[in-house]
Amino acid sequence: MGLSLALNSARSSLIATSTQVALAARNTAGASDPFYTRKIANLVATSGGSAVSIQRATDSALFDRKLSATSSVAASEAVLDGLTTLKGTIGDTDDGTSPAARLGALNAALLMAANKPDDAALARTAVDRARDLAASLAAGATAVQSVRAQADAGLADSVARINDLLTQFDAANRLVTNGTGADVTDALDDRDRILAGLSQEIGISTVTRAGNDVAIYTDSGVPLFERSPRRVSFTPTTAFPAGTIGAAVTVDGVPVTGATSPMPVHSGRITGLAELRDNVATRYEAQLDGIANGLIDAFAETGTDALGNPVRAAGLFTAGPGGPVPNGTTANQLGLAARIRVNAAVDPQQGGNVSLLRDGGIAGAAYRSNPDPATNAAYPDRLRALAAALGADRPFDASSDLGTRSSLHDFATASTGWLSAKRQAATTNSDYQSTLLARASDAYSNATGVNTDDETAMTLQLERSYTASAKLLTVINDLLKTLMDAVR
Amino acid sequence: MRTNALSTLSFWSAPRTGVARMQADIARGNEELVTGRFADVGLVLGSRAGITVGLRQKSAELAALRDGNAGTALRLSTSQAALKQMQESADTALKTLTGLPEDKRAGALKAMAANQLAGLTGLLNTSVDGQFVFGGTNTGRAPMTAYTTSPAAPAKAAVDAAFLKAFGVTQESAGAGTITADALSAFLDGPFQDLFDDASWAADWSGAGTAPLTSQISLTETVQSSASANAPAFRKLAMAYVMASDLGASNLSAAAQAVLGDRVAKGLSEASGGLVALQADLGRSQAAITAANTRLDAQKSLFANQIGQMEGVDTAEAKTRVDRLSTQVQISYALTAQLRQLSLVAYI
Repeated sequence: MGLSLALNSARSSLIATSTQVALAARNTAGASDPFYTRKIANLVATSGGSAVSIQRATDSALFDRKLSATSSVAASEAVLDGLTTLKGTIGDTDDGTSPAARLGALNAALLMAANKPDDAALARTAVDRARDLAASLAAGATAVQSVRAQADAGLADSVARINDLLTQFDAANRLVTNGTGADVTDALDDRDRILAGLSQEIGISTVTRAGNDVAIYTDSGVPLFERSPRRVSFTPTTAFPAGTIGAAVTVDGVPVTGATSPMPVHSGRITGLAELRDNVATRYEAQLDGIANGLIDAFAETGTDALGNPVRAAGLFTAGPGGPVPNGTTANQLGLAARIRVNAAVDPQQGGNVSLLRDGGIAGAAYRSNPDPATNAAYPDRLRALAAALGADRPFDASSDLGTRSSLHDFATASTGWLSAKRQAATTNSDYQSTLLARASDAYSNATGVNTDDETAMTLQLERSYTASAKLLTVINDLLKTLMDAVR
Repeated sequence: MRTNALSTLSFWSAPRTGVARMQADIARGNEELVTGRFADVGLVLGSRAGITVGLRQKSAELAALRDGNAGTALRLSTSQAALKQMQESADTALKTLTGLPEDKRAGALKAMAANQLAGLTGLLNTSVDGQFVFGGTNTGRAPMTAYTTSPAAPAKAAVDAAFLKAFGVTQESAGAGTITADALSAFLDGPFQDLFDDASWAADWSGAGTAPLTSQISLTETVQSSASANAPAFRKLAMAYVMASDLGASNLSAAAQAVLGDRVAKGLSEASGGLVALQADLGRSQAAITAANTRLDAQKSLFANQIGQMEGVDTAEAKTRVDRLSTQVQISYALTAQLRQLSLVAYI
C-alpha cells in the first residue's frame, strides 16, 4: 500500500507543480498590464498530497489612494486645458495681442492724434487701433464661448462613459459575487480596471461588502452602484452665449455639480469641467464684458435733445443697433464683448469719416463737440477728453472677480494678471497631483504587480521540484516492476 | 505569500517618465537661452504678468508722447525762425526810420513798408508738415490774406473806406495835403486803430483761430506750441506797415508826416517787443520739450529695465541647467540600455 500512496503523492505533486508553473506563466504574461495583479499559488496539504488554491496580491489602501489621485489629476487637467485655450486670447506679455496691450496702443494713438488733431492719418491710426481692440475683445468672447461649449460636450462624454463603465461594472461584479469557490481573480482585476476608469471621470469611494460585493459612491456620498448601476444623466447645452447657465450632472436624480448641488463631487473630470464651464470661463467673460462696457462708456458722446435735456449715446465704440445706451454703470454689460465694434460713422473701412473722432458727433450731429469743424481743424479738446476718459476710474461688476472700481487700463492689465495667476495655480496643482498619482501608481504596482525575474526564479525552483516528483515516479515504477518481476 | 520590492512594470517605466520631463525642460531651457526671457512668461509671473503688460502700456504711451514731441519741436522751431525774421524786419524798418530826417521818412518808408507787409503776410502763412503754424487751431487754411491784391482785399478796402470817411479824400489824392496833424492823430487813434481790433482783424485780415495750439509733452505737462496770427504783436506790426505804406505819406503835410512817422516808429518798436515776448514764450516751450524728452527717455529705459528684470532669465543659469539636464538624459538613456540586460532569462 505504501508504494501506491507514494505514487499518488508524486502524481498530485506533479499536478500542483504544473499548476504553479502555469500560474507563473500567467503572471509573466500580465507583467506589463498596469491593472494585472500578481496571482499567488497557495499550496495546501491534502490527505496524501498537495493541492493549489489561487489568491491575488492586493492592497486596498494603496488602490484607494491611486483612485483618488487619478480623480484629482483628471479634475486639475480639465481646468488647465481650458485655461491654456483662454491663454491664447492674451498670448505672451510681449505680443501686443491681449486686450490690455491693444488698449495701451489705442491710448498711445489717441495721445498722438491729440497732439496733432488736424492730421487725418493719426486719427485713422487711432480708429485702426480701436478696431483691433474691438476685434481682440470679440475673439476673447468667442474663445470663452467655445471653451464653455467644449467643457459642456466633455461633460456629456464623461457622463456617457460613466454610464457605460457602470454597466460593465455590474457584469464584472456579478461574476465575482456568483463565482464563490471558483477562481475569480481575473474578474477582480477587471473590476479594478473599471473602477480606475470610473475614477478618471468622477471622484469615487468604494465599500466592499459580504460576498465580495462592491458598492460605489461618489466622493460626496451619492450612490453610483449599489447592487445595480444608478442612472447618471446630463442635458448638454448647444451654444454658450453670455449669460447661459449649463445644466448640472445628476446621479440618481441628485445634482452633483453646480452651485445648487447639495452633494457636489470634489474630484474627477466632471468636477474640473464644471468648474471651467461655470466658474473660470464665466469670470473671464465678465472681465471682457467689463472692458467692453467701460470702452463704450468712456467713448460715449453727450448732446442735448430737442427739449434741451442732456442725452448720451455710444460714440467710437458701439454694441451695434439696439445696443444699450451707455449710462456709466455696469447694468447692461452682459455679452458686450461679443458685440462691441467700431462705429461705422467713424470707420473709414465702412465709409465713415475719421475726423468725427476729433470733432465728436459720431452718434449724430447733435453730439458734436467741435464748435466749427471747418475752421477748427486742430481742435484737441475732444481727443484729450477721450484719452483722459480711458485713464479715469469707473465702476466694474463684482462678478469679474477683480476690483469694482479702477481705470480701464488697470482693469485690463489686472484681467491679464488674473488669467496668468489662474493658469499658474492650475499648472502647479496639476504637476503636484500628477506626481502624487505617479507615486501612488508606483507603490500600488510594486505591491501588487509582477516581477518577471521573480517568476523566472520561481519557475526554476518548480522545475526542480517537478524533476524530483518525476524521478520519484520512475523510482516507484522501478520498485513496482521489481516487485512484479519477483512475483512472476 | 510573497511580496515584491519592485514590479517589472515600474522598473521599466521609471526612467522613461523621467526622460520625458527632462526633455520638456531642455526644450524650455533652449528657448530661454535664445530669447533671454522666460519661455512662458505668464506661467512664471502669474498674477504679476499684468504688471509687465501695464509697463508696456506705459512705455507705448511714453513713446507716443516722444514721437509727438518731435513734431511739436519742428513746429516750434519753424515758428521761431519766422518770428525772428519778422522781428528783424521790424527792427530794420525802425532803424531806417530813425536814421532819416523827419521830412524824408515818409517817402523812404513807403516802398519798404509795402514789401515788409507782404513779407509779414507770407511769414504768417508759413506751413510745415501740412500745418499753417500761425493758424491757431485753424491749421487747415492759410491764416492771412494779402493786403495788396486785385480786386482789393477786404483789409485794403476797409482802410480806404475809413480814410475817405474821415477826411473826404483818398490817400493818393493831392487833397490829403490839407489834413492837419491833429486830425490825422485823431484818425490814427480812432477809426484806423479800430480796423485792427479783434473783430475787424478776424473779419478782414486773418482766418486764424485765436487760441494757440497746445501739446501734451509729457504725462503731466501741456505747453503752448504755436503763436496765433491773431496775437497783438502781429496786429501792431501790420498796423505800422499799413500806416507807413498806405496812408498817403508823401502827400501829407510835413506836420502830419511827423505825426505819422512818430506813430509808425512807436508801432514798430511795440511790435518788436511783442515779437520778442512771443519768441520767449515759444522758447520756454522748446526748453520744456527738451527737458521732457530727457525725462521720457529716462522713464522709458526704467520701464524697459523693470520689464527685463521681471521677464528676463539668467542665461548663465539657463545654460548650466540645460547642460545638467542633457547629462541627466544621457545617463538615463545609458541606464535604460542596461535594463535590457538586467533579466534573469539572459543568464539561464
